[in-house]
Amino acid sequence: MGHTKLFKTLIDILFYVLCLGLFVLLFLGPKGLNSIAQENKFVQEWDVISWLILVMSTVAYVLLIIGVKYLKNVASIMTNSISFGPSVQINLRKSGKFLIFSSLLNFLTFALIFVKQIVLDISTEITFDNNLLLQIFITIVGLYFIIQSDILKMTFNLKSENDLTI
Amino acid sequence: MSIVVNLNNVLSERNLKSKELAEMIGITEANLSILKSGKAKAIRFSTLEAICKALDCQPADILAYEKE
Repeated sequence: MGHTKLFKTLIDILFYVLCLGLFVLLFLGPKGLNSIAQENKFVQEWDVISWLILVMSTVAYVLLIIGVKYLKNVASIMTNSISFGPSVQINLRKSGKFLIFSSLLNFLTFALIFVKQIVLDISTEITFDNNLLLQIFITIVGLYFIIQSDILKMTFNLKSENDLTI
Repeated sequence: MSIVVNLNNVLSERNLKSKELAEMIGITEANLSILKSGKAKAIRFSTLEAICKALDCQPADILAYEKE
């Protein structure tokens, strides 16, 4: 039970920090926003691709928040009682899907940045990018949640069958 | 479901009530009701044996297969 409470607390902290980040990005960011993707360019100098990168990053960030929100629901249900009922399955599956959508959109954003560097700036560099590995990890976690949801569904069906065995 | 439980017929032939049968075979009335209504997913051999013993009948008297 202690682990469940710690799990819920950490998910709650993550969710609120992510929401705070979105608030800063949407409301406070535009006041002092003058750089994107390590390019020190003023907003007035941004091209279409720079804006596209910003929009895609923001959408990916929102998708991540939605994924964590569903995980927060799972943690909340599990804190009340260790349950593997339909509500846990549905929330876990949705969480997994949104995490995957978020990381896929981030992949696209990275690809766009890469193409932009090659085509427009005619310069590129080969670096060990931790952000890319993080996206792969988030995709794996999202897939794991979906698999876990399927396993819970099977378990629930087995339990129902066992309960209805006289 | 194509397996039909004819427990009600057998009970009425023996002039027995569900409560009495449940006590005789050692299951709850609620479970016996699930069995009678056909909502049960499965029946244990031990339960079937107890019912047959209590009602002095064969499994075929209680369970029947009907084509859907």
